Order: sequence, then C-alpha cells, then structure tokens
Amino acid sequence: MRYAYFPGCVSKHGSEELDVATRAVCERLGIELDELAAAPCCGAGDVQEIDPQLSAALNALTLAQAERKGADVLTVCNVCTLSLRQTNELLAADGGARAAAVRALAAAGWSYGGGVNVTQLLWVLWKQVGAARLAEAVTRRLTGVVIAPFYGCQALRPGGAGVGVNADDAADSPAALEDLILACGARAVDYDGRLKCCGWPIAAARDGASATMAARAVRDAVRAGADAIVTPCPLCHTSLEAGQHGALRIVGEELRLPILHLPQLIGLALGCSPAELRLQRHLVSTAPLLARLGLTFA
Amino acid sequence: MPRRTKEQDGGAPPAAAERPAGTVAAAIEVLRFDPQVDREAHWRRYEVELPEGATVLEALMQVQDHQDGSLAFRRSCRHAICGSCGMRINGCARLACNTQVAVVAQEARRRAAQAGAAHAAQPGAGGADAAPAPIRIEPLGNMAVIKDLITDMSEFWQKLRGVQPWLQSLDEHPDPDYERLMSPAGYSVISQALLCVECGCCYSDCCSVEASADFVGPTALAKAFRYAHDSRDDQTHRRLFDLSAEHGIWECTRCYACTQRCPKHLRVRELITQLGGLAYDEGLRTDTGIRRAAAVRSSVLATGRLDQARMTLAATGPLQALSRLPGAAHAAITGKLTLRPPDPVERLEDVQAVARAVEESQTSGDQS
Repeated sequence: MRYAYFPGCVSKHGSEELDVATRAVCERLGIELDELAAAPCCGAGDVQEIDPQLSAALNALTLAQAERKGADVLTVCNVCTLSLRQTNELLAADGGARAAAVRALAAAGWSYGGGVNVTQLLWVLWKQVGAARLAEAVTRRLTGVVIAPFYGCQALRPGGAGVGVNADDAADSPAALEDLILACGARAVDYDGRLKCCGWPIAAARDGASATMAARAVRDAVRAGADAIVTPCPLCHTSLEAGQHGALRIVGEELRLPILHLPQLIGLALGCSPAELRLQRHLVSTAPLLARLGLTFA
Repeated sequence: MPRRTKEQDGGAPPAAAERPAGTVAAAIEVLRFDPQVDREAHWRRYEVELPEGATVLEALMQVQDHQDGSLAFRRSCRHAICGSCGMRINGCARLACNTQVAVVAQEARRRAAQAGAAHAAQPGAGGADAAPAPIRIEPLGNMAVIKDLITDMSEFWQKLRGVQPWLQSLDEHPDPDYERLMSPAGYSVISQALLCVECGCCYSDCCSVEASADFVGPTALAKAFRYAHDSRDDQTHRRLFDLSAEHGIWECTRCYACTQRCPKHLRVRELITQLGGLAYDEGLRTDTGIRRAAAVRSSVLATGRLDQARMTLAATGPLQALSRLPGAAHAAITGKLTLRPPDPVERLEDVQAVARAVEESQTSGDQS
C-alpha cells in the first residue's frame, strides 16, 4: 500500500502529534507514505467560500502532484478530504470551472488527467487494512478502556447516491470508528454527539455557538462513560479540546476528557509508546487514560 | 415487483411466514406527547402490515385509521410536494411520504445489529439478521412539539419570511404589462433552489440552529439564494447586507446536514457557500467569518499553508483575541498554538503561479 500523503496544514503546524502518530502507525502496518511536500492548503472550506476558482486550482495542483507520483491521496483530515474530493468532482464535470482550473495549472507547468482518488487514514485503516487484520497486528489490547467515536461532519457528509462525494460508510449509521476501536480491544460507546458538528468552522466567527457544539458533544461522551474521544479529524480535535475550556459556563459542568487523534489510539494498540505518539502534546491531559493502561509519558 | 427473500431483506419480522405475498410488516415506535395529558414524551409501539412499497406516511395513516385515532401528524399531498409530513425517521429528518417502510425497517435492523456488535466488543459480530428493531418516528428537531409529530413551525416560517422571499425591484417600468424576462442561463442558476418544498427537514437537523436558536437556518438561506441570484430582482446587495448579520450566512457551521437531509436533493450547504461568495463580491467583508476566509486566503498565498494563529487574530481583531488569552496561553504551553509562522510548502512558486493565473483570468473577466 503506497499513498501520496497529504498531511494538511494543522498536522504540520500546531497539531504535529497527528503527523508523527500517522507515520508511526503506517510504518507498523506497512503503509508507505510519499509526502506531497509541495501541496498547498486545501482552502479549509474558507477559500472555497470567497474564491472558489482559487481553491479549485490549488486543489487541482495537489491532485496533479499525486498523479505524478502515481498514487492516490491519503489525508488525515476530514476537511482536506472533502475539499480535494469536491475538486475532483468538479474537474470530472465538463464545465467552465474545469477549464479555468486546467488553465491555471498549465500556467505553473502542471496538468491533471483525473486519475487520482482521495481517501483518508480512517478509510484506509477500515477498508484497505481492515479491522480483522488490524486486530491481528495489535500487541497491546486496550482492554477496559471506553472510547467515544467522533466522526466529524465532513468525513460522512455530504454522502451517498445523489447527495455528495463521501461514500465510504453509511452517512447516518457509520461503523468504521467503532470497528477500529473494537479491533484495538477497547469498547465503543454510543452517544448523542457522535455524528454532530465540533464547531470548528465557526470558531472565530461565532465562538459562542461553536463552543456550545463542542462542549455538548464532550459532555454527552462523558455521560456515556467514555474515557476519551477519538476523531479522524484534527479540526474536530482542536475544537473539542478548546471547547472544554469554558464548559462550566456552557453546559454547567467542568469537562476534562482527552481527545485522541485516530492514529494515536491505533498506535497505542500497536505498541507505540505514549511519547512516540506525542500524547503529552494535548490541551486536556491524556495521563488519566494512559494510567488505565498502566502507561506513563516516561 | 418480486417479493424479497428473507436474505435480501436482511431478516424479516417474525410474522413473515404467514404474511400474504406482496406485503410488508413492520413494528413502528412513535414518540407520543399530548400536552393535555402527558408530562413528558413517551414511545408507543404499533405493528403494521401494508402493501409492499408502502410509505411511512401510509403506515401512520393505517395506525390512525385502525389502531389509535388520537395519533397526530401533518400530511397532505403524499407526493413530496407540499412538504407537510417532515418528521424524524430512525433519527433522520425525512418526508414520511417518500420514505418506504421496507427501506427504513431494514435500516433499523442493520443499525440494531451494528450497535449490538459494538457492545459485544466483537468486531464483525452481529450481522443483519439480529432481532427485529422497530422503526423509530419522532417529531422534527429544533422545534417545540405541539402534539405527537406536529411541531410548532412558527419560528421557521418567521425566519423564512425574514429573508423577504418575493421579487423586489425599484425599477418601475412605465408599462404595467411589461414582462420581466429571464435568460435560460439565469434560470439555471436558481433552478435548483426553486425545488425547495419548505418541509423543514434541513432545519430540523441543522447543527447551527441546535447551538444557536436564532440562526436563520438553511431553508431561509436557500430561499435567499434564489432571490439574490434572480435577474429580475435588484435588491441583491440589501439582501446580502441583511444576511451578513449576526445570525445569517456566517453562522453556518458547514456540517452539511442540510444537503444530507434535503428530500428534494438540493445541495443546500453548497448554495450557502455561494451566497457567502456573493456577499464577498458585493464588498460585504466586515463579518468575522468573511475576514477569516480572507485571512486563510492570504495565508495560503504567502506560504501555501493555513496559519491558525494569524487566521484567528486577523478574523477576530485584537480585542476578541485578548478574551481568548487564557486558552491561548495554555495552548502555547503544550505547543498547540505557536506564533512561529508555518514553513512554506516546497515549490511555493508553483502555488503562486497558479494563484496568479486565477487572478489574471478573474480580472480579465475570462471566467468561461
């Protein structure tokens, strides 16, 4: 398995632990990552809003770079995945937007033939590696640990026939994260916030509404008995961590629930040390969770 | 249509053997609430048997006609046109009249099996042939309940009226019979938005409305899109000015629940994205949301990467940023927040050449 690896801006600047954990897990599972070091930001959904032509052209550049590597794109972020997939959809349609992107690419000496698929670590672990093979590779079963899966909107939506480009799992009843959690030997809990929004896109513009979304989701996970939340998206991770800061004011209780990146959970089960997965680089301490597994940062 | 076998159906209810051919049997659970009697809502279970292909609306009508006349729900056209029968079916807002019983019965069984497997801590255990699970029917979300499946939609209508969903033009033509024509190209821009039946399904499951009750919501924004882009309307700027307020365009959290739910397959969030772009083009650039988008764009042009710290600072301004200092200081200690700018991507000149080409095509008006 070889992929053109698109780490995304957040895992290169801010949440570097995600990039480090992704590499550790992929190495152990025999997934070769060929980094797209010249690929620009996906636009984060923001450039799409004010300059759709620019976001399409920049994502086309990323796809062209992957095509030259002869590999499909693997991201570690829901927003990167959706942005690149939406551009792929736009470039597959024969319209003016496609022509404009093709011309812009040509200006930098690039072209894109349309042969690249875009996926993310979650789907590769679930579909290409598979929960059964992952379970066989597990050397440290996370027995007794309760994990709340948080998918993040743009991993699943818009999804399904006639709806949108995400079709890896059932948009309203996904099973991927649960399957992976179980493969690690942990228990998965169901809770109200599981498929809701973390609030990241409006964290700057409407911080109250954004923090409400994050705090409610974390509270629901705590009430369901979770020891931690796991998410495939670094933006959800950022929002769910930061959203606990003012939780007392928003949901009437203090919240201290660790928010793990997906490869950190998988990495623990594959025998990586907490330091190797940079589990100390969290706003909400992961120490109580690690203590349940008899682990420390040392 | 041939009758499904048990295997294809993912496990039929117990009475399958005695059921006449061409019928579907299912258990439905309805969240009942009568404010005159009940202190809180409660689930009530019914068994229904209907012709194959029957809809959830037909199931509810059968219950109302033959089992429980007190069950309350809205319905009218039965053709997904009137938008009356929106309700949550298996947790998702849908029109009861274009949702088939067999489909959601199978969905309920699959989900129950999935949940069972997750709790049994056995990957791959369970399967679709587990014990029959009922179809769960609840009123739409983000609205108060009047009775059973009937919600109070007055706020929803008020927000819809708030975007003034009618054509407005200050250009009064001297000839009262003057016909304002629209080009086929102009029509194609708004044709998707015209399909909205105002059922409230997108509004019901909207994450922003749930977190901020005053958010205008996806239905009103889709409607606003249609008028902002209608060539016969000359109030585009004023409409977008109004929608750039606190609870307008920039409160949408891009969760795509609206696109996911729309029974008419409108890509609602995509329409809202375009509405934001139109506001930007109209020079309405003071909202924090639009300033953030502009900051991301500048950051990408400068380094090829998004700089979260600068994006937030540029969007919120120093005052609001100060209010975040305690959280920011904590983030800086763990290394999550850094003022060090990101390292530029390799071959930044390619990114900038692409960006320049886009800009040149935009300024030359060549957007074909």
